[in-house]
Amino acid sequence: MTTQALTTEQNETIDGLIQSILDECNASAVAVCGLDGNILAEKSGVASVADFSLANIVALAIGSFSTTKELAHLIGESSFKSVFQKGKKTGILIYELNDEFIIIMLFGEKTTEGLARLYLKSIAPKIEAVLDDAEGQTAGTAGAGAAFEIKKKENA
Amino acid sequence: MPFVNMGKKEINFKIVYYGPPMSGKTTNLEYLHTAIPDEQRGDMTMLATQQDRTLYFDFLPLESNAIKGFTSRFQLFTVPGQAIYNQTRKIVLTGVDGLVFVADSQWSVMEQNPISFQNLKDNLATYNRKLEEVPYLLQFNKRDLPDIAPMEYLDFMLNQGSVSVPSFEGAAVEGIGVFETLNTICKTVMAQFIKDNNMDINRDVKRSNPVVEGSAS
Repeated sequence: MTTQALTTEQNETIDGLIQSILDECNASAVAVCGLDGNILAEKSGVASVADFSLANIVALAIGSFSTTKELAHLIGESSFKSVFQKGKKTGILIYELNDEFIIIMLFGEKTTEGLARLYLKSIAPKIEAVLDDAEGQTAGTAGAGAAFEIKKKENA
Repeated sequence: MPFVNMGKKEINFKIVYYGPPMSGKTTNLEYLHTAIPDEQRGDMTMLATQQDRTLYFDFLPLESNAIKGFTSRFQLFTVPGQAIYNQTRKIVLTGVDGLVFVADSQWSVMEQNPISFQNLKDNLATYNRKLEEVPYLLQFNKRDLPDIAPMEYLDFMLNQGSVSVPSFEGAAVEGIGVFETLNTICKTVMAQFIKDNNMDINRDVKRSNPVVEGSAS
């Protein structure tokens, strides 16, 4: 079982980039996550999208994107770069970063969809660069040192 | 694989409940969802058919402070047991950190257990992984029903790897064995994580508090 890790600086860089997505695209929430279900970073522009509901949205979005990816393989494509769904008031855009990561963006009526797609396309290489740097990084090399300590029984 | 965010002081782990159709994988998660306090868990997501059979997966996120200074997030998934959904089982196994194999103790469906167990090994092999390299344990479920195989029989059938893994009696519908199973796999996964990060404090893991505790009986 290998470990994957982001340093504090890498976390800040990705946080800044997804904050720019929130601001520039008027998005409701943005998450960067692995296709294994790990949420690397998330930001919400509205109070109603709580952490845990975002976790459920991410799990479903990953399932949806993974299924779409398998569909792409079946029809001879390597992948579909994005998945887009729009309802009456809210929509979701999933954008592939590389083979292992995706950006999930929830948006509302204020978002211009074409602009959002273009912006994600422009910002994706910057996030990919951070993830490439982090590849193979473990908790130790990310600066954890000897930080991990399991809490003992209180009466021990 | 476990994901550590040093900036947010978070560690994410992914645990998958695997097993034959109708063995009680979803029931385990449903019980946990009702018994774990709201502040330690999120909403449960179920993708089921109209007949309440798992179509894609069930998902339940948990939070714990079992590792000092970090928020440990455990993402619990189930897979669909039905044979036709193998592709989705493979997808759910992506990056798994720990496995619970939920076997059905009933004689009438006994042959489904080794078939599913072999299917698990085959699907892990597509990611170039071996079951022995992933922390896992066994839950022999439906011990509350009549006409069930002895624990020793199930152990003989499924616990023949190079290392014997923990096995638990379960009656998930009544919550029996559900928390024991969850806490053991969580601790095993954390111990592996710490070992991989060159900090051998497994002794402390064994002495530690339960990772999650429930309130329902």
